[in-house]
Amino acid sequence: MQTPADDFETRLEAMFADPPEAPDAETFALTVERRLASEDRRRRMVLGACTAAAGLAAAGIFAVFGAARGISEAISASSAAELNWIPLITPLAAVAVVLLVVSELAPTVRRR
Amino acid sequence: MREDHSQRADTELAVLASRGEEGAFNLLMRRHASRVRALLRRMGAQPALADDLSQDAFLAAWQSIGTFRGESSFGTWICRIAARLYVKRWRYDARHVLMAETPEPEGAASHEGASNARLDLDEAMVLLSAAERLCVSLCHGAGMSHSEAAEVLKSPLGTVKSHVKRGLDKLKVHLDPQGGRHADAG
Repeated sequence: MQTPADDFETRLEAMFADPPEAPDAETFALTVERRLASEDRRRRMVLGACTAAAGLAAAGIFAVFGAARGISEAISASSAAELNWIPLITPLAAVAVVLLVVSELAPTVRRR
Repeated sequence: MREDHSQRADTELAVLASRGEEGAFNLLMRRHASRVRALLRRMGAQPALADDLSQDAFLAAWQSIGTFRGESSFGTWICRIAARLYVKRWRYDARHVLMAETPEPEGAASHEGASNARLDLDEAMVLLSAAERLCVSLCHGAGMSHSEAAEVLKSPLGTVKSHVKRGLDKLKVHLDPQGGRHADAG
């Protein structure tokens, strides 16, 4: 059974839960919405930058190891006809892509 | 086209928000902003600080909406986040320590005579000491148990309980003069 004290506490909680609408409620809501949107953009940018960094690191590792393998195969090949060009060209292409991406990203990052 | 979520319940909106629907979260925020702002003001925050902390609370809620399990209402959940932020700020700003015994606020005695008039909650809260305001707001505004409030305030459980008790007694006198008198008589 509810005692008068419980009844008062229930009413008090209802008063806390249902305050009068503030006159500047719309302004406040718009401010929060703007902050949420900008926070979301920032988060997406950080996520994108992390993904790009991871991609660049992976491409760099692939390029270094691939180039080393290609060079050692080129050295051991007795003639140009026997030489397998794919391991040589692929890492060079990867390095070129990395340089291209970095050159494209760098001005964007500097602008921000 | 933006989907209209206005008819949806808070729990549904929270699920949508946890899937990244910002519109659903914005609607939740609009529904509960007044409650959060009022809670912080009633806890003793100046209006500008209350607004700043309310914004921070909604941002924090948006980032951790995935952890909302619906065990309490969304309103209670966001109020707890905001209340914790305020207590943290309160403790940091003035190195406040919740004392076991606090002096009677000056306003309280002068309002005793006005207890016949039914005051609204905002006015009544001002009559409480800072510690009583905090404890009552945490337990009855943010839905915390006494133990949770004690943990947030880093104070002994008994101290929090006594502040809540004294705060409620004062509020009862001011908000519910009839009930307050009955309680005093009994």
